[in-house]
Amino acid sequence: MEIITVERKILEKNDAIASGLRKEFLFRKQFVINLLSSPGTGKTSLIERMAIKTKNIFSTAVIVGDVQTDNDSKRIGALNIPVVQIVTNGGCHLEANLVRDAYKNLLDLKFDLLIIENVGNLVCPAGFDLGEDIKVVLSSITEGEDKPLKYPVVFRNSVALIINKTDLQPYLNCKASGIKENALKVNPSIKVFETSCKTDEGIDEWISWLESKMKSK
Amino acid sequence: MHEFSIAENIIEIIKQTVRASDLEKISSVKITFGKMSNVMPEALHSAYKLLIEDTPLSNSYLSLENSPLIVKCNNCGSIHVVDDFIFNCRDCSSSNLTVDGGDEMRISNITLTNYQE
Repeated sequence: MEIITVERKILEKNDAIASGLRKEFLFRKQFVINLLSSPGTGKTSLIERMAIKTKNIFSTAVIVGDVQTDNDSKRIGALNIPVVQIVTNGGCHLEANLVRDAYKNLLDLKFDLLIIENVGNLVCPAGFDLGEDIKVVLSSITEGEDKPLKYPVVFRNSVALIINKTDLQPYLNCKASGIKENALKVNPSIKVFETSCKTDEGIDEWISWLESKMKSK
Repeated sequence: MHEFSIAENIIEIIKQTVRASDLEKISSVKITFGKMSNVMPEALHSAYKLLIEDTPLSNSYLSLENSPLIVKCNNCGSIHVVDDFIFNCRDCSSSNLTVDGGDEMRISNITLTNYQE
């Protein structure tokens, strides 16, 4: 019998590609967000509102991942934002090699912020480094207050939490304060924002914080 | 199911580590993973089994070992295991914690057994 010592990280290949991307983003002075959430929380709507509100402040490009369709990239493209759609055909998360290949389509463009809209999934994407500066998790009032406790890893790995659809609070038992309380249990240092893409509540505060992060890169 | 992707990566590292002619001698591959790696053991076993079918690795299996999520409280010095993902010190409730382990996912070793014909 022979035992070979290996001691290698299983995702080392992904991490190496992510590390290369990170260097590229730094060289090009681009701030990169990996936006994570379950389906239907409003990732694309948030990106749309951000694009409109920041068009005179900084420039944005988007890489969006979905299992099927290019619906999201069409919505974002309609705002004249450079966007690349990744269709995973069943893949439940994005990996660094997919982002690297998509990014090749953006190499000739100048932009300050890259948003990677991950596949809608609160489990699998959490563990894959895409070369981003920060992971941001988007939750919503329609999801219920216990999502941070049910999916702790994604909330633990994220620097910021955006609680969206606050305009629906009068009609639901779920409150943003409850989601926030649970998120802080699994990640005491997570920064929390409460937003509505319908009323624009909280969007300016989120953008202002994001700008300060971009400036300090 | 990201366990499929993880199993693919495991197989690639095995092939980089062991000579092609020795792959069929592999009996087990020890994997160490932490609570924060989000790995479901049953799903990983199933994915690996599916991928090694009719290959030189078909006699091998994954031996999975959990590594605990350990926190050290920077307020009172308490060191303990966290099972429930609640990051407050169980002794003084402080959230000023240093986390050790928990998010790793690695291949520790590969065992080869010489099979007799």
